[in-house]
Amino acid sequence: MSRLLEHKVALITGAASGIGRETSVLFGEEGAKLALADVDDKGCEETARLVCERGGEALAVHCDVSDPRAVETLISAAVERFGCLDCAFNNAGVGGASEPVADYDLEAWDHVLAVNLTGVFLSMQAELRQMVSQGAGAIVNAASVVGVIAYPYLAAYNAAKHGVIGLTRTAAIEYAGHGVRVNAVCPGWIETPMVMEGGRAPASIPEVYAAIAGLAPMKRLGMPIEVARAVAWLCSDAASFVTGHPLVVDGGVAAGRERAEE
Amino acid sequence: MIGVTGTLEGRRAIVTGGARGIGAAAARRFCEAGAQVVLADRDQDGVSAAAAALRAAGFQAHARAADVTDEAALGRVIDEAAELLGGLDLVLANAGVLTVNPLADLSLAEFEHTMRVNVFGTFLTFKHALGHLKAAGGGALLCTTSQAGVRGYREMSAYCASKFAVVGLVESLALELASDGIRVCAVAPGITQTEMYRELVRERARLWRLDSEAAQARLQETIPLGRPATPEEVADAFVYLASPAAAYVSGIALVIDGGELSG
Repeated sequence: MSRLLEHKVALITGAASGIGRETSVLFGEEGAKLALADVDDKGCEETARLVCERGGEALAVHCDVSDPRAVETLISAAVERFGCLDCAFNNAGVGGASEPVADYDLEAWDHVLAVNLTGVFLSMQAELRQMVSQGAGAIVNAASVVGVIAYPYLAAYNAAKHGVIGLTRTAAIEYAGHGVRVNAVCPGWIETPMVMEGGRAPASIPEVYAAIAGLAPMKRLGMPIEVARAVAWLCSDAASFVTGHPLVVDGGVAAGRERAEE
Repeated sequence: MIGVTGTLEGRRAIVTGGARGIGAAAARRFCEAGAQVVLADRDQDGVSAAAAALRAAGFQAHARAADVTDEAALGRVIDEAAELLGGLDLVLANAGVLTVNPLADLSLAEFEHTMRVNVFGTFLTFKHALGHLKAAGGGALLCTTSQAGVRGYREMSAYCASKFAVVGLVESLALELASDGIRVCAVAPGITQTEMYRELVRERARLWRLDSEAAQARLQETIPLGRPATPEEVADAFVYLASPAAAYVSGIALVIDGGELSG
């Protein structure tokens, strides 16, 4: 079986855990050489180890995506090591506080926007410069189902993810003529550390898991690999005419309202 | 896992509008990915030729004549397909017609025909396939909408209304059928190199009073990627949606438009 990302060089931010880690491992298995970035060095190195263990090639780089210079250094390191940059998955993100809009702490807001939106913007700037010089590339930005609809009390996260889709569409239009495709992936509720351990009531508690699973028509949380496969497809040549699309992977959440009695 | 080869091993599929264009390309990609396929189309000669070409390439493919507006005949063809293949787990309701006319000139007959093929045809295909998918323990109901199912286009009110309606079917059925293990998704192609595109160019040339080359240039100038899709690029999206790689994807319209709808 031919591999989907054979000979591609890919950058993945937020690679230390969850969707980022799973996507890194899948990309490695599908033949991509990887530059992996995160603020969590230990987690990122562990992901690189998992990739290499399966016969892949990975470089782990410390990077806070909200720092423009750190992002520049990251892209340079990737290009220096592997010679080019074919794909990028701008996945680094934080969950942030859960408060009504009127009570949402400004510092918490700033932090979520800095990582989840400005981080994607800065990453894309550096990636696009490299990809335009090559005349080709594919970028996937991590948006969310709450980039399409909203969940209550997640003001900063919802706004940042809506913003990511706006940025994605803008870059898609601007860079189509340069051979660069830019898409977003919109995961619903996925079994990641952010969902399973985050917030006031972690989903690792069975009743909480059932309540979250009940939000999706499929009545379960998604697995990180199910999002990873969508990212790999968007990065691959199978998606050669797809650009500016927010691909929703959410078990049906965004399609319509599920009521408790159903 | 995501690559085309083997991802649909053992799947049993029916594709309507399978004689040419996107339907024929999707049937071929399904076969290449390991599925067995029944192609249905109202054009008996065309669909027979498409299936024969697949068989000549070593695939398992059958042809059936079917008009998706004829419920009884369509139901028989779907049952027959399930019998031929030993069941059904993949359905692509792709048969469609294009209508381009300003409101004042748009006849009730034209509007009704557009709705009958594009909307009722999709509804009936899904309805009659449902029992077979349930018997198989789940599967995927896929259909073809359009970028005109997401946004309006002038002089295309009938076509847009029909393709918007298809998205409504998909979103509702995704909720309704999730507990049966059935995913429901659409692909929304932009301009694609098919017979329907040649028809669109002719109709636009007529309405815009341009020669066909000028009409085609005008239609393509707003596509950021600067060209129409190939039927194979649209077919690749159907393979992804049909495959286990899309196990958590339902209720979406996957847009394959070269960036057209982003701007």
